[in-house]
Amino acid sequence: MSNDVKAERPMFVLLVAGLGFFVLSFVAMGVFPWLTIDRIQAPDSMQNPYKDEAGQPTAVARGRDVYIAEGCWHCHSQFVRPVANEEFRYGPRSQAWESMFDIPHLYGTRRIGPDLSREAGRRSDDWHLAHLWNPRATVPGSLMPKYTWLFEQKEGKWQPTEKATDLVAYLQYLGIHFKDDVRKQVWPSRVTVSGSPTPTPLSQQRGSDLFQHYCSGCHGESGNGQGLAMDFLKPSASDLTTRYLPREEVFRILFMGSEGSAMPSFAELTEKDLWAISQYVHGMGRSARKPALETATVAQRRDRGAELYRKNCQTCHGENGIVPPAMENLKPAPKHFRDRLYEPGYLAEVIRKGRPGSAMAGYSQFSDAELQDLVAYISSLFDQKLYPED
Amino acid sequence: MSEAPTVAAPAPVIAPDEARLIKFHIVASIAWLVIGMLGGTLMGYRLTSPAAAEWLGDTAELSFGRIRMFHSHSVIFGWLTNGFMAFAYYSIPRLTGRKLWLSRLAWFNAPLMQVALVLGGGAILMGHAQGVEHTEAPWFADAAFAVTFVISLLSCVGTILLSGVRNMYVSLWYLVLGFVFTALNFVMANTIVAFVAPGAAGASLAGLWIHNAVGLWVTPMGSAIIYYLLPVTLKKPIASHKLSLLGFWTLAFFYPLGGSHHYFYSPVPWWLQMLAVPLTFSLIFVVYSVVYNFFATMKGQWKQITHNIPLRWLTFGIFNYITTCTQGPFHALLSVQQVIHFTDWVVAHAHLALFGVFSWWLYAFTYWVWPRLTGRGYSKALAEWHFWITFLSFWVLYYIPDTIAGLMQGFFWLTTLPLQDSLEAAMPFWITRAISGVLLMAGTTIYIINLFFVKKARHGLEVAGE
Repeated sequence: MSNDVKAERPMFVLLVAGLGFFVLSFVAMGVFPWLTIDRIQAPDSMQNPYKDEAGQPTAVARGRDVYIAEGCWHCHSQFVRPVANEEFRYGPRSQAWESMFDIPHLYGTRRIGPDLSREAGRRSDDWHLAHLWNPRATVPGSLMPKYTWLFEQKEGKWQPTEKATDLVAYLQYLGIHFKDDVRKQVWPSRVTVSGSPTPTPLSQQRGSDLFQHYCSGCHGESGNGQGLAMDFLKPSASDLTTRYLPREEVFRILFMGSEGSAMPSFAELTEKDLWAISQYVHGMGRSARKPALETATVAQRRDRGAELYRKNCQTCHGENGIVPPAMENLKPAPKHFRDRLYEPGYLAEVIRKGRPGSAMAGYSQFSDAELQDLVAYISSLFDQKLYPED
Repeated sequence: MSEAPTVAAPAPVIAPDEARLIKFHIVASIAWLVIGMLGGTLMGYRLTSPAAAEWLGDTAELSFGRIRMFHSHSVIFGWLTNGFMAFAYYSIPRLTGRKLWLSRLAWFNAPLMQVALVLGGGAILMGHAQGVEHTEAPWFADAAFAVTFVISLLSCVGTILLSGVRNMYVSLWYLVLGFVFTALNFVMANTIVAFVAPGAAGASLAGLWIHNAVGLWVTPMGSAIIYYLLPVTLKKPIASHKLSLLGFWTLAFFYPLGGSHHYFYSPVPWWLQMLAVPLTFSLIFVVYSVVYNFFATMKGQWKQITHNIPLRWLTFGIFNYITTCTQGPFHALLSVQQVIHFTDWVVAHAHLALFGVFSWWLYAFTYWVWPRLTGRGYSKALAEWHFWITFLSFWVLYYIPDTIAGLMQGFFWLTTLPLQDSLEAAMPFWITRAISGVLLMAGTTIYIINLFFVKKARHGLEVAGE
């Protein structure tokens, strides 16, 4: 017959294993870490982002509530590990003080999308709104669900509700203390590209595939700027059929992105792939070269245009079509006319109407003749020696 | 040391009110299984292509994120927990020789628990989730569930204490541990993690919760099932009672403390992460104590797995247990973590544990107990179909592809290529995963038809093969 062993009595198991080991693990995994974390000094810039001075929830706080309710954190983690190249991919590793106001924390345990803890300043608000409305609008291969219930239709156009703008405010807050580091990484201030590899039919095909894959959401399948995202983007996505872009210029924009617009940097792609896209995009607007250069052949026009350019355009676009470094701080930055040509009709239209969402204002006061003069001069700024016909 | 208690004693006759309670929880658990699987299959489909991601895209309630939370809510609290309740209510009176304490309260409590679960699941779908992994139901649903859980705890643990049993069979040890630890853990998660602990402190405690929702609820309940069902189906005692108790104490001590391995390389204090490495690794002993006991008890009995359906599920469950629980300790190695963390490897691993092991042991329990509760038999042929569809589609189309997808993602992320490319590379594997979801649902349909609709109730029960 069995002996009575105290350790085998139910009450012993209940008290030691059930209660005792729970308390032990609560102390080890709750109390002790909590005490050490509380001693970590946060930088002075670390303020509670979730409450305003009146104690009311901020847009960031309301956005965080949407983020929690939609379960965003089940596919997007919020911590950058110091291993596996994550700092290079996302930005500086996560610090304990960053989440000191996050109750509950949203570190997450799975990535079916990118980590979001270094999102501040990485992409434009427009990009985020278009992406939330339909992720395929900015990333055609995306598997993310749509969040159309955060938007409403007004006059045939989709508009964000407050929930969507709050959510974007939250995304733009994530990693705000490391915004500068991320910015330097994502938006290099200067990229100089000279010379491009000789195009081949195979790279042409690859470029076409990659364009559909990465670019068609905003720029449209044909590159005319009429992609799925068009309701949301200001400035609108460029109509790539209206401009002659040398391959080097496309490469530069792909690598740098265009900060201040929804155009992100594609520097993560391999150089070979970037050149393939450059070649393809170059091909789209190739026919604009000839008519643009033809306008520049009339000397009188050019000279009258030069006068108008000096008075109205030179401050931003620079002498000789090279944007002065100070003006590069405009976001999006003005274009270098040395490095590109526009189809004349399109260019005149942009000068007249401006480019909403950028610093480019409209010049409706110009007559048609003046516009033609200006187009002639701007076209003449293109450097044909640097970018010979191919 | 005491003489090993056994479960070989003839089972007392099941009283109708007792059977009613157990049946209720089994039916509820299977209903939740269907709902949870539907959610899983829907999610699986959504990840097969960008076009599939658009499907039902304007319906907020069926959005991926919400279904993701609803899926784990349904399978952990609906399917597994209801199943474990059924097992506890069945096994405790048999192991203690005492009628269930507060059995009338338990009967009222059973539907209330479903109300709490529906409330939680509905709230998640309506967009009122809270941000605590594996308990995303909002506070009011959690409070309701906690009350019903504690009532079950009182019934179950109360029966054990009142029975005056002095040396408990190992299943009872696990039941006591699972109920007591989990009640505390659940309340802790839904108060302290959800509303008090900030940032990294919250993550440390979330590690305690998510890890032990599996480690000290699902695992002890599963262990209780296999330690009960194996000797009962084989009609011979467990090989080593002593070893089972060693396994118990090492589980109870080591398992909870390893939880921060869910947040390796995060801002959770480094000393806590380092503590999790040896503690998690030492679980290998816990695992193999169960595995050894299984194999030693099975000695000379292997021929039975061809015709004994519950034993088949137990056996293949233990094969999955060996696989998943051998993976587990190695996940705690930092070099392994660097690659597999955040990937599908973990998803595959988790499904192998919660589906491949514990759900299969619940299948074993239901196949075993349902005829005893109702007098209905079941069709051997349909049971074979259920087994083979489930086994093959889960292993071949889910577990192996998803594991490969996880490795691929992990190594892909070591490069600096766009993350988007890694997702697209995983899509072929996600297609087989979605197909497995459909097949698993088919298997479940067969299971339901077989248990509830095929054979009529009759006296003088004979169950095929047992």
